[in-house]
Amino acid sequence: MKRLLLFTFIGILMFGCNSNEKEIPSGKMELTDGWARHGKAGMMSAAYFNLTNNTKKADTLISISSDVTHITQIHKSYQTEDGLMGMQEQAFVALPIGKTTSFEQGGLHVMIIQPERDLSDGDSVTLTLSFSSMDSLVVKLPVKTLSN
Amino acid sequence: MKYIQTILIIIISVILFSCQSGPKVIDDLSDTTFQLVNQDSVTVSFPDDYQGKYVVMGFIYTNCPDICPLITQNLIKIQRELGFPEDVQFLGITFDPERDTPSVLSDYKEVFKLNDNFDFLTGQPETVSAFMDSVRVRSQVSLTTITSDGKEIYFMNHSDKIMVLDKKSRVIIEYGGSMPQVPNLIIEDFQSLK
Repeated sequence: MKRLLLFTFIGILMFGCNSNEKEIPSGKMELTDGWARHGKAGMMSAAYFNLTNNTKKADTLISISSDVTHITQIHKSYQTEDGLMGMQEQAFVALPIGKTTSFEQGGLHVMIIQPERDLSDGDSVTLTLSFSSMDSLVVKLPVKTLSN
Repeated sequence: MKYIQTILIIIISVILFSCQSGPKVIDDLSDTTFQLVNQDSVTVSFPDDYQGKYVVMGFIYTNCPDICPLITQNLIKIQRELGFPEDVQFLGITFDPERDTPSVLSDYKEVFKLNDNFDFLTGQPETVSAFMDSVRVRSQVSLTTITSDGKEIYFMNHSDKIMVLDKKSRVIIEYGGSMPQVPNLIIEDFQSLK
């Protein structure tokens, strides 16, 4: 009995100290408050959302694709040194454990370039988010019309 | 005697200062006329055609994915919060006239479901360039790419501005156009004007 307890104790210690093992995510990558802006085919649209890394591993968003266009890019709006507003394409977006990254107007955003169909109220846009570690996340975002 | 003279100067200064009613004029646009065209291909003489009205105007390009829609949304919010006043003309003026033709601007207006008091203006590139100089709006193409299927993708760096003109075409209000607090600031300014 004493020997069994000793082996169990050593086993727990060995398992607990095995830090090189790849951690298995217990939570999910969660996308909330998502929407895409209305637009006409061939014009420009954008998508916004909050992305929370609820897994147990830091990850990186490396690309996004969409069902309405062949060209989807991640950009960030910023102010240039001479006071103009510009955008910079982001090759990746770091997603720390437990943190929410906001894709919002005037900041990080997903550009839906030259959509192949009109995007109106009641429509939706499907995005596929690809990460460096976890499996892709497929989400359907409602199209929002911003008008009077 | 000198004491009385000083008092008189102070009194006159105070009276003159208090008589300067109305907002501070930032710029006067009434001296020059620009021949522009709206989304329905109707020629517009700016600012002459809007004399007698307030003008609230923002500067955009329709291929802009993020900042310009914010500017347009702010213009929309100002119009709505002011109760769609007939004596206030709302304008979105493009600094990308080569691509933003009247029909493109018509689509843009349709997408935002805007009313008759909200127009988008474009024009000949040299005229638009001179107009943008007069309102101190700068823009430059920051990236141009041609996709494998021959489509052009381009983006511009640009000024971020909403301006208000009084009924004599003088610039009396100017703010950053995409900032979320701008609609409330302009609405407050308008309330103090009327």
